[in-house]
Amino acid sequence: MDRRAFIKIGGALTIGTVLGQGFQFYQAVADSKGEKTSALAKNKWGMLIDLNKCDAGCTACVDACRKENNVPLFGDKERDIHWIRKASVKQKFPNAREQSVPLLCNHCENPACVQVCPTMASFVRKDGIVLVDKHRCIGCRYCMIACPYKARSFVFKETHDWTNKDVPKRMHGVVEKCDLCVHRIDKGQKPACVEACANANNGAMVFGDLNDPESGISKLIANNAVQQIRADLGLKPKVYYIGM
Amino acid sequence: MNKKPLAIIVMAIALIVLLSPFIYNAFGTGLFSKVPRPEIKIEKEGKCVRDTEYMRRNHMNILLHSRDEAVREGVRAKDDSLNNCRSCHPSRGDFCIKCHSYIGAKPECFECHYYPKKAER
Amino acid sequence: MKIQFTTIEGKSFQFYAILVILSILAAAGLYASYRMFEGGHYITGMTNQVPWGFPIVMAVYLIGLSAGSLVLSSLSSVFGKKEYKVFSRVAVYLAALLLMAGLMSITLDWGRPDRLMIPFTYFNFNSMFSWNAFLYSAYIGICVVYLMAMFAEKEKLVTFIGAVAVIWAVAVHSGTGAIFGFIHARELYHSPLLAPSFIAAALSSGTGLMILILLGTFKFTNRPLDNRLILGLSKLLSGFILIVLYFIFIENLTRFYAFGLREAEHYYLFEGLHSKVFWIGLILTGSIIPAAILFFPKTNKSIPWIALASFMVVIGVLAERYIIVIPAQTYPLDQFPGKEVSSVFLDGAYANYLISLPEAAQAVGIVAIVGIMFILGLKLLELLPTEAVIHDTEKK
Ligand code: HEC
Ligand code: HEC
Ligand code: HEC
Repeated sequence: MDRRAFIKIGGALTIGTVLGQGFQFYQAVADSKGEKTSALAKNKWGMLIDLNKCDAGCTACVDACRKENNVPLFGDKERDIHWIRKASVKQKFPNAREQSVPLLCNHCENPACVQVCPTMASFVRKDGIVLVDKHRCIGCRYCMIACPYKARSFVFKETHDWTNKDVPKRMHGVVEKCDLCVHRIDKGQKPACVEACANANNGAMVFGDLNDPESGISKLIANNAVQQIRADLGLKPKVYYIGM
Repeated sequence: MNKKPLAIIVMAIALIVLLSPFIYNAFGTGLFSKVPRPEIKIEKEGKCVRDTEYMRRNHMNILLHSRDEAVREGVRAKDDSLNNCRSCHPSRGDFCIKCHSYIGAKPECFECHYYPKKAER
Repeated sequence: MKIQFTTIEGKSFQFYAILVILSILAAAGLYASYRMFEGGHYITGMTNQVPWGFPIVMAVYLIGLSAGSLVLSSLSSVFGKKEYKVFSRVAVYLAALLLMAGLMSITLDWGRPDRLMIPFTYFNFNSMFSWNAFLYSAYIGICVVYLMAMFAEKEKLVTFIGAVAVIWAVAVHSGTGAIFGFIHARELYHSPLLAPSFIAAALSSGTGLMILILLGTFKFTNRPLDNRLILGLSKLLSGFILIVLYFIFIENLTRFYAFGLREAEHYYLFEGLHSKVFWIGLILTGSIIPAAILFFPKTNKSIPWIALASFMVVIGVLAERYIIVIPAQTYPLDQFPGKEVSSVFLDGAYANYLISLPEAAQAVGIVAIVGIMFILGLKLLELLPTEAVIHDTEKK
């Protein structure tokens, strides 16, 4: 190939690329502006967990979640998928009391994962739920790097667990996390973990609308000393804890 | 020194690649109805969620649109959802796959979504 | 005196032998990528605690090499060092190749590389990744135009595009640094120094690579190469090594000084495998020994010693990328400051990361592809000068 041919081919390719990219950039801008408003916007879902009522030996919430959302255990500790888990937390002090804390996605108002997601696969739904659009996720795992709560898991392997056929299974190569059981919320139900907790326990988990000052969760937050995990990071998590 | 033809050919190929979506759209819709159709079983009497003709060409757009609406906006249109198809087309093997393997489409949807190959009852 | 650029002959037995060997390595690497894509990432060393493994290390490294090469190529056109014009074409070509290789490493690492076009159709203005997708593809475009201007011998245009290219290379690599530096959640990432120190490392590794490439290609093609050219580059290299060291020193000192970060810093420097990579790979192999070679008067004029030092720098910067990317993930997230955590999801536990065979094979394969493309480029394009000799009239 001589220099002329190279210049011509390269020129054609470059012009094509530039035009194509410009067009797509323009589309991306147009897309991000043309968001629809929806009826969801009036709610802001949140959760409150009263650790005083949470029994260290109870795993009702975790089991219910695994069953509802088909979350598998591969038996490989480092690659298992966890939407909600129970951690034991204690002060660095001799004989300090151990506390069992359910940890799940905090559905932040300023989520770090959504900020970094290159394809907007992670997004905040109008009602405040942080979701992963698994149809759009490319599996780059930047969100897992950015999330300070370790809320996200990558699907390392094909699975065949399918206890609840109404909810999609999973495909390897996509990131996922707690979605507060959106499919249940959209049907007017509560997340599976909250329901299981109410059935098994005294109802340590409370789910509700933070926008409504009369809702149970809003009253509890107003009248108790509540904590959030790593509130200092400024992400405004919407999972509150009592007695941490 | 004269490599003009080569340059022109390569540029033409580049142009075709760049325009391929448009070309595909222009041909794709018109072309498809002329191809002989594979035999597919329709198990239920009545009508599909849209015109049959429209469904044949645009069911993927309906599915993708309802998917984005449902997942991102929370608007769960019952009729257009992927979960609804199997209420009238209960067997994926006899319906979707038959057609898709004929034209070589392989949607990845069923890695995650429940849609048995054989009708269950 | 005009410099003549010609293609290489490319008919010898060695030429084809190299091509065949590289092709085998590339095929092995692509097979590893295919296994990752088809079966899932469980065959790699990556876990839910360490979601970014060696492919990302490699990507950052290759993009750094690319940015370094592109800046070097502009030494003659933008910074007026006319004697370096001999390798400006090779450097630009290499920059384009290495960037594509870096992108390949990233995309093959994705869980769903088949969704390649999605980042271009959906754009998140807040994401460094999204910005980088555009910075990178424009970068390749700039490299192509730059190369074309060089082929056309349009001096003014070359100078102009060269300036754009330098700015773009700096932007691209700052963007790469920002991918990590902007992450607030992990204290070992969150640092404004990451962007500039990435650029320093890019320059030192790029210079090291250029010395090796020049020595290798000119020796292989039996073309004369002036030692003064290599000596000049080695001077640059010694400066860049010191700058990299300076950044590392400041960054670690800052972390050491803050009581809250001391635990993390101790982990970073003294615990686990990465601390060995840090001390042996980066500090000893990548900095101290090459700096000693390049400053010691007995060795700093000898070409074999300079080649050794360059090689060590090129390896050392790979170690630097490793200790930037990995320990920040193996060190547990501080969800409950001041408290101890443990759970089935390994909260609060130090994670392990070991490079797995598929990841290593993929990395080698990608480098092999760069090698193949580079050799073919030398054969098809007029990249290499017939001789690289500094004429004394040129140097004022
Ligand atoms: C209410 C029952 C019903 C539902 C729900 C339904 N279909 Fe249909 N569909 C039909 C019937 C009946 C036909 C055949 C109509 C005809 O033969 O004219 C049909 C035809 C079709 C065809 C054209 C087949 C051909 O002859 O070429 C396609 C494609 C199709 N459906 C796809 C879908 C998809 C995708 C969904 C899910 C969104 C869906 N259908 C949901 C009843 C249904
Ligand atoms: C009449 C034949 C026909 C039938 C029946 C049919 N499809 Fe399709 N389908 C097509 C064609 C044609 C395409 C376009 C293929 C392409 O674009 O490559 C397609 C594409 C799709 C796509 C998009 C694929 C992609 O890669 O984006 C989806 C999703 C899909 N079909 C779902 C279904 C489902 C679910 C059913 C069964 C309810 C079904 N189809 C039945 C012909 C059919
Ligand atoms: C990685 C797994 C995965 C793949 C692959 C996948 N989906 Fe989904 N899909 C999901 C999940 C998870 C949801 C969310 C369910 C929810 O929110 O209730 C969903 C939701 C949907 C919905 C909305 C369901 C409703 O309630 O109305 C539609 C429609 C849909 N997907 C269509 C598709 C189509 C069409 C494809 C193939 C092109 C596809 N999906 C591929 C995981 C997947």
